Amino acid sequence: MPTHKQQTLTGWGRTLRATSMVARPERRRALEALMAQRPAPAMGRLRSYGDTALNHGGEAVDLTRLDRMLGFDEDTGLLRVEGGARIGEINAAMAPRGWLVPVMPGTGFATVGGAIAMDVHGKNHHSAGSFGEHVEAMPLLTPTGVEEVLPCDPLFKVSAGGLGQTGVIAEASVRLTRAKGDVMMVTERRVADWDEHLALLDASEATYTVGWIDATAEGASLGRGILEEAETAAGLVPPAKRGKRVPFDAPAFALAPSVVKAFNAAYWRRVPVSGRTVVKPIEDFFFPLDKIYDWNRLYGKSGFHQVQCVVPLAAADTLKRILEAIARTGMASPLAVLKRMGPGRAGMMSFPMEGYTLAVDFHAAHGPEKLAQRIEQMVLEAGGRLYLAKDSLASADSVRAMYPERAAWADAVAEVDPESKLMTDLVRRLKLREAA
Amino acid sequence: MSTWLILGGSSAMARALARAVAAQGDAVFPAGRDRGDLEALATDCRLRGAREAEALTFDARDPSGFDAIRQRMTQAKGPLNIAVFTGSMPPQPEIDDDPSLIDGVIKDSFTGPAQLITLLAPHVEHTQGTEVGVG
Repeated sequence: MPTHKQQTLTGWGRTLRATSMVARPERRRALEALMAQRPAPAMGRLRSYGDTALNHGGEAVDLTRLDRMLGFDEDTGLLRVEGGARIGEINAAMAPRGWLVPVMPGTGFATVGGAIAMDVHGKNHHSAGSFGEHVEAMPLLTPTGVEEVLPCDPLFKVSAGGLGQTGVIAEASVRLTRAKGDVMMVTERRVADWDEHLALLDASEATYTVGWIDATAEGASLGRGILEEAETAAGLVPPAKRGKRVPFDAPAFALAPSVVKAFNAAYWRRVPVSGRTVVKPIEDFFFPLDKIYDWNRLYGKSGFHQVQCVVPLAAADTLKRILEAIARTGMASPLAVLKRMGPGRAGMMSFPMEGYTLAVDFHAAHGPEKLAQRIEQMVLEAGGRLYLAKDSLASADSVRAMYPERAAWADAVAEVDPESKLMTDLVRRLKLREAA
Repeated sequence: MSTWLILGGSSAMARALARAVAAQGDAVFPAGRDRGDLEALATDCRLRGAREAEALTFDARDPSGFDAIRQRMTQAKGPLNIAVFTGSMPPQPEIDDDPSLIDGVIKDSFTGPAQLITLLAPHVEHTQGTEVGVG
């Protein structure tokens, strides 16, 4: 059995910390022995922003060494892969063969296990649904034994988007999607304001669509940004450049409001008025920030929060008011993303709903707690919800009300993990497994 | 296009090397005792672009299996490179209780791989390959 070492860990936002005894099994057999004797929640590359994968004062299983592709069927596109494998690594190997991971979050460092446990979505959510909807089987190491879970099993809906509360996702069979080639044809256009942004998102017929929003723009320019629409294509472009590192925690002025405002204006003008179509390596389109390995350090020692919410289509106006509130405080960071989501979701605790989703980063040093509370309230009233993979600020009452199947999910989780061995800091903070 | 025989193929460093050379299109032969684990690595290497990848059984303490490896390697194409990641070290208290455990350490870390490399040396030389030892 692998030995446990004490580690102090943080989520990607670096605001919440946990000290845990972490075991990192090198082989599947060791993982199974570990889960049979000392079951604990799994962690991957810690790309969730808050505390979803943290377990302060407890134990954790680091799955990153179980990261191999175990088999691929060229006829059906079905890939069997270990839970610790990174999405970006799978793509790098499979795209040249004409296959892509069907759903990709914003970072290629996310693992397959994490992608299922958070039921992540990507720029193609409106057409392809969530990650869990492409999973055809997963052996789950629960505290009560090993179970092969299929989409038709009740446990599947509990586990996809299930925050790791039913067990360790040792491996998964994921149906990859056909790609025309291993480059992306990306059309970028300037969007003048909020109404145009929504109209373009609604009308987009592209496979991959996402809006970047300048969340510092106010008044008539509120909601301005750049719409990106993309398709896979065959072609020849130079391979993506190797990533760079951030050598130290950035000083406080690096993301000061004035700097962000100037950066965002320049970023917007980078795309010509008439728009443009560019060809990019696949990873440059899907994982633009991965080129700077530890970009979270740009926020300095205090870290940052991301708030991502979704509201139903009819509540788009709420999202506009949220954006107004953000712009007024001047707290927005360069990274703000707007997207239209489809209805696709794989589990009871999955984030997606048909509507519009907005994701914004806030520098922790700017004290965004009050603003986040306001956003939370507005989202709740609009019938929307917050994304737990990003959360570090929400309150238990709101989140419990935002996920209508939560109580039933908690009951089902209690059956596979009766001794609450798999609880994480997020689950405790938001009281997700407590009875109604 | 080289061929790589990787002894002690289950270690983390061995896995990193196997993947790096697989991505170049080389042939990769991870060798060791945990057959299931090595077969998973071989499949992973094939999917990452290895021209050929196959798990081989290598037990440093059992030279009777060495000739099968030699035969397999003489069939492989291109320069033959051998990378050695084998080695063992029981916890000190166990060695204190039973000093004969040292024999196994020497076999795993030195004599086993050295015997196999000696068998393969003519082929490595003939194909202008390389031997790499990692301590």
